[in-house]
Amino acid sequence: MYFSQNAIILVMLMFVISAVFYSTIEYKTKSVEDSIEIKKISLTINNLKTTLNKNLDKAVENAFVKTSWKIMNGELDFFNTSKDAENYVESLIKKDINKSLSSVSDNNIVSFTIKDVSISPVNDKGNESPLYVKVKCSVTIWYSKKLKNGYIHAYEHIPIEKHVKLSRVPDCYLYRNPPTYNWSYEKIIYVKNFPNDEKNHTFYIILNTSNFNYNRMNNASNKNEIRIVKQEGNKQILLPYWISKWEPYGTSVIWIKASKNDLWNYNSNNETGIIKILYGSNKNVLISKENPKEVFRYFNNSIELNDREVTLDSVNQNEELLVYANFGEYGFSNGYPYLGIKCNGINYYIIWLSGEEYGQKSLKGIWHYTGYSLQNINTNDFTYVGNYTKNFYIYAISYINSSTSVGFTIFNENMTKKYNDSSTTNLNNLNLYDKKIVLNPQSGDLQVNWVAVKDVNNITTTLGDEYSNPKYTETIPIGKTIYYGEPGKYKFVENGNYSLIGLFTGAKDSWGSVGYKYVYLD
Amino acid sequence: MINSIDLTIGTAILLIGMAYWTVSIVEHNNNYVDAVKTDYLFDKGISVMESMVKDGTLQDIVLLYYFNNTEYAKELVKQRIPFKKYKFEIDGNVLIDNLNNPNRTICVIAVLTLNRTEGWYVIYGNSSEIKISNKRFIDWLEAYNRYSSYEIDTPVYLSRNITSSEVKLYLSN
Repeated sequence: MYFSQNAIILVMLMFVISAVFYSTIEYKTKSVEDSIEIKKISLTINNLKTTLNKNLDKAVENAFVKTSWKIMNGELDFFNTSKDAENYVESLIKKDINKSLSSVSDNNIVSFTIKDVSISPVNDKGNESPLYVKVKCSVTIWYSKKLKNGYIHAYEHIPIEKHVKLSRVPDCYLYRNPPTYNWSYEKIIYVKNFPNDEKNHTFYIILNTSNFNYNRMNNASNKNEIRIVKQEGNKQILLPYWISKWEPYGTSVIWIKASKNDLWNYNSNNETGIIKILYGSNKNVLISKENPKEVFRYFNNSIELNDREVTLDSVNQNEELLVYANFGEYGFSNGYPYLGIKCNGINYYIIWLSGEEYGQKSLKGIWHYTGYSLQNINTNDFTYVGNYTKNFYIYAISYINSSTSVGFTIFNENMTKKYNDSSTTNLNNLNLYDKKIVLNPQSGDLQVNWVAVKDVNNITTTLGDEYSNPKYTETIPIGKTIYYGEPGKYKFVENGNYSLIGLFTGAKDSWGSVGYKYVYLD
Repeated sequence: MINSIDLTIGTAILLIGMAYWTVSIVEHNNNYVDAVKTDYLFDKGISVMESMVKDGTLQDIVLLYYFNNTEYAKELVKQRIPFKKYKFEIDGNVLIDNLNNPNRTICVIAVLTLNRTEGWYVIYGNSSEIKISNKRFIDWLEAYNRYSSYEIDTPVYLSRNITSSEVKLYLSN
């Protein structure tokens, strides 16, 4: 046999052997490629499961937040029944799950159906139960693909039942039905000597047991309950007021700011008019509407005193400075504690001053400041007024203009005049300007609670008859955040009307047996 | 003479046959090795993506990307992916592409619950008018502070249009 013939046989033999090897290796290659395809399908299914698992919570929360938001903005009205609200929320959940899974599944290989989405209340999580929702649904996944070495075709049924905790769902019911304060009684306040001009004037009323029945109040020890209002047709509108002293079943003092336009039935001939005081609220009022900074032209109750002179706002013509202070035990070591008005530039003081001078323990006066020390006192400018130290008094200085005398008055906290006088010093030629409020303890124990500046006027008030059911109501501020069940703002109640779905019906229908109720709704 | 011709022809047949066989067997073998390598890469890719999903890195990357912190997102990806040749996509948008015209790539997909419409939106306004912000925020406090001048300032976590973010990792041999 020729060598070439042997070579041909050998090569042919090798080709035959190789063909077997090639088929084997090709089969193995396809097998590896199929395994990659199967892993890809498995990955897609895992992705679907992950998406379902993670997005379900979000879909549920999303559905509640969206429903609540739509009710808040009026896009939806409150549902008639809990079942209606439940169906609506379920439809949103199903829609969201569907969208979420659609974005994951490859429709040519993997498809799915979602059935029987339902939500139900949870009652077994204690005080947190109203925040939980039980969600059930059934998802079926199909997958089918032709592989290189065959087919893969299967389906997987995934039943889901889980408790989803909701957090930070806005309370649409609270927004649409904010709680209100209303009052049972109103009492007429007659205002006299009210100037016939367009300006605002500050004055006060005094309540005591002879003109005011504290028993009519919801809570007599709570001054927050008081409101001062003006009458405008059928409406009653809040006026700026501040209660400087509140003593249930005793004497209380309320400062008010108003213009003649705020007075009901203002009579320009005898300068009288009417405002009203409200009391007897439907619930214990926790929110004060007092606003001393609005009542007075200037008000400061956070004064820090040290050994040096403290300068505050200016006092203008036709204004009266009120300082609620206690001079203490006239305890001075380096000088005399004083408070009042300092006219800068020419160093004039118009002050109340406490100290011992020739055996007198309390002094007032207009004093020409000539040196660096308050020891240089011209005693002729001072008048002894009595010993108004050791207690808090309201020290008032009224300044009309430089051609009129300066009024000095001391009131106790009930606004009873303890002393009243006017200076004899002629200010006419003194060219006073930049009149600032000054306070100086001079190492003594002067305490100042508040300082106020108001207009000078002769307005007086008396209280008149009491009437029932005033028109005034006040929406209780619900705060910046209105999350259902927010700690401190809500209380747990065994009433399904205050469950989230219950609130979607305007708290008319119940869902489950527990809920959260906004504290001010009681 | 006849023998030498025979020897020459026989040798030529053997040489050509062997060469063809060698080329053929290498080619077939390479196909198989490529398939095995791809399988290995795919497994490795799945493992990397799974660990990134589990420890939250992938979620951070998507969040950073959608809140315009692309550079931080890229840095995170580079720190976590141990491959030289890969392409990283978020919802079809290429974040990193180091593939350089590959012949054969494999794609690993991870799906996150995050999507481009998810975040803190703020319900703000007052008792007579209420709105919801168009802008979304990554952080509750940031959202709250932005509308703090309003009487009502309630951030809510919302997906305006719920879908899922799809992150794709393309790997090449």
